[in-house]
Amino acid sequence: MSAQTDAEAQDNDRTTVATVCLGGCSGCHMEFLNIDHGLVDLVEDVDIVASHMIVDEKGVPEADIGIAEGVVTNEENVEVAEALREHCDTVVAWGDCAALRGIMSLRNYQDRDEMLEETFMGEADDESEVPFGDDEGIPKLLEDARPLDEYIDVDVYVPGCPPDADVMKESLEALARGETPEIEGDKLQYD
Amino acid sequence: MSKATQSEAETGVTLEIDGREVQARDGQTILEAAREAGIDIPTLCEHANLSNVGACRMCLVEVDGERNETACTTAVQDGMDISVDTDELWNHRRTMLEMMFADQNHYCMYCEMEGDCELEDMFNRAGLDSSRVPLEYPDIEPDTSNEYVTMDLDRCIGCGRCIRTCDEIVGNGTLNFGNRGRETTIVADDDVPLGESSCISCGSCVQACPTGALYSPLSAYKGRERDCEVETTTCSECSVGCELEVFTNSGRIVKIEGNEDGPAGGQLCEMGRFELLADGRERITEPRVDGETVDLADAIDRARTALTEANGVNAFASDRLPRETLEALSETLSEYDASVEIPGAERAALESDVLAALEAELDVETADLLVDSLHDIEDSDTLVVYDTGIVETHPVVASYVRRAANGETTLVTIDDGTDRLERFADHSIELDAPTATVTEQVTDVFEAGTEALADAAIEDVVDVSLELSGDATFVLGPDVDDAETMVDVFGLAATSDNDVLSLGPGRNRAVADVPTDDLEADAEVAYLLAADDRGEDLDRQIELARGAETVIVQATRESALTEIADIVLPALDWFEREGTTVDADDDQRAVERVLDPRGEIDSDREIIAELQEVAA
Ligand code: SF4
Ligand code: SF4
Ligand code: SF4
Ligand code: SF4
Ligand code: FES
Repeated sequence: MSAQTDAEAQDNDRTTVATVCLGGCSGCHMEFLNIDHGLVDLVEDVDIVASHMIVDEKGVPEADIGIAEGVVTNEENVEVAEALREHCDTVVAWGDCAALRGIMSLRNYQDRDEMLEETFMGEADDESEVPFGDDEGIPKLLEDARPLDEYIDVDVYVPGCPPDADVMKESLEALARGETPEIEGDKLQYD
Repeated sequence: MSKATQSEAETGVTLEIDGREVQARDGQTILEAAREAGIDIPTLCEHANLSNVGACRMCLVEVDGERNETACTTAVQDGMDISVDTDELWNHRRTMLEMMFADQNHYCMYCEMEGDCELEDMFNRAGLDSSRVPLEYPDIEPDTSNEYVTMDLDRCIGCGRCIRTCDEIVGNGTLNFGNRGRETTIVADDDVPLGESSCISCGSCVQACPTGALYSPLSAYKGRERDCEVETTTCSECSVGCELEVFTNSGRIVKIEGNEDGPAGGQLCEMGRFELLADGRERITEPRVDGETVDLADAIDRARTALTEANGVNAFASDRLPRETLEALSETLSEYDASVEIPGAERAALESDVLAALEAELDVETADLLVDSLHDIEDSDTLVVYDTGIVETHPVVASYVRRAANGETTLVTIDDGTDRLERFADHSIELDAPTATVTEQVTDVFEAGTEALADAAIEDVVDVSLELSGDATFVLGPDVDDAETMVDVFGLAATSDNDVLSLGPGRNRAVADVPTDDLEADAEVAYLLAADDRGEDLDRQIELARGAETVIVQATRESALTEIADIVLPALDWFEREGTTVDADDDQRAVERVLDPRGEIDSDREIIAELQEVAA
């Protein structure tokens, strides 16, 4: 066999992983990069097929494991979350936002449109508009930001704002081995 | 109060907890028995020194495999078989926790309590990684109307620890559950902002709250408990002498807490818990002469010269200072033509005179007339409080008075101004006559027996006299300053075989052992050992400074006094001092250094001693 087919065979053995960022700050994805050298070991077992800081893939491809950071806060998030559920066997909620609602849901205490007005300070000039999302192009904000499991079934929760890189790594390794990661004790965190 | 305080002689019971045989005493709760045996049962609403209410259901245990009970409210029984650590019980606990999480807004990442939060710990133990209960997002405004205590009910789990603390420990009863049913929340009085309520800002509820619902903005976000060192010292703000547990981190104070194992049950007052931290005046670190920074040696030289050349010296020392510092001052001043005033010294001297006279006259021992311990006053059948100003000047003793009055004790208050304990008093006597008049009549009536009751000129006197049948304690507040009242009160205590607790204006009763005298009208030099004095004490020193030609001030912080001083010497702050202080029941209490001094000096005493050397 040629060297190339060897590599392909190895590829096919690896667990495929897609990560998406919903209404999050990308902090979880940043922390994922903090796995640092450990990422080199990790990619021996997993094949990262989508992850906005690592690979150039904008959609939600088929994968064994689908990971979401962030709350569901706009219409696009709902579509992406649903695609994740549809295309992936196991769905993981990463971070406090996806698992428990997190910082992004602080907006729930205000009226959505008033908040947008205030954030964008009304119309700055004749050309600009407050992005209410009524037109094509910008996804419309939902009335409330809510955790992932209010929209789709979630199999594994990894809370933390963000979770520790080590916990992310260990949980992915466990999933790649076909086990359910045990996140308890010191590994469980809310800050 | 704990149910474990029954006598040891009581019948023992044997039970099994998670497979271990445990010996317990009749009347103990399952929780108490487990703790004594070193077995951990999770709790949230239970707290040291408070009654148990079974509100949070964290301590749920399975009894005899057939029913679940809360361990904090269920008494042990012989032969009980208890399970604590089963999956089923943890499922129950997790469900309860999910409801607490969903009901309120818990965002640990920006919560001041994060890392020290008992609820967060419990989330961790129960493995809460998501919520099966729909989240509520209630919109709750934090109550920031109290300067030192913020109430953010966003994070309140309704455990009631704050309510029970305010009621059972502080005896103030400010907090309550309001808006019954699902809308139940913690309210102050009739649902007014905390800052407008009967709250005395003692912060005891803050210390008791397991979550971030009650916190002090003075300590918020300064660091977690586990990263702190804790040093204990004695509060310098009144003669109750509460023990302060001072939490420090990287050379700064994070917070002050009360000792939960002590008689005060963890409470402190606004002065000890908050005001000691809130002194925002600029610190004096270097000596100054005529507004110019100078070497310490030069400043001391100048001060010596001024003291030596003066026709007379008027000195003043803060009674916040330890005994040793006051004694050093006394020694130094003995080398000069000087008089010294210390707050509280006059009252202490008067009291000694009265006691000495009574000892001879009535053949009683002074020691028998004074209470053994501050805390004992709670056991009195009757408490007679002269001057309810103790609510402001000796707040923790005032809490003992309230606690007693909330219980079986009859409280009589006698005041010539606003009665600050009226809410708790059985008889509140408002005086337009001097206090002495009342006591004199009480004494007369008491001595003459019941037939004199009808003749008593003041009706209230009858009440007081009648109440003196059991064990009574007379509490003398700081405003009592006339010999007549004192003679009467001590005399009444002697004849009725009762005790007196004297709460003078002096913060340190060691002032009684430091000779003081009347100040001279025309002394040229004022030497003011102000330390961190503020308020009235500072005003008095400014008055003395205005009357002098040369003003020497030894102070911790800048003030109107240091502005008019010719020579300014730095002084230690309360948390840098060392020595002893004497509290109201004559106990010697240690003043410990909490942090190393920031300024140029290491000891107030040494500077004072150096001032003495030259004069010779
Ligand atoms: S109170 Fe405790 S559980 Fe709630 S947000 Fe604060 S740290 Fe988290
Ligand atoms: S600060 Fe003290 S008086 Fe005020 S509510 Fe809390 S416990 Fe009660
Ligand atoms: S404020 Fe704190 S102590 Fe009071 S009920 Fe709420 S959580 Fe418990
Ligand atoms: S009661 Fe007195 S000693 Fe106790 S904390 Fe208050 S001021 Fe300090
Ligand atoms: S600790 Fe027993 S019910 Fe809360």
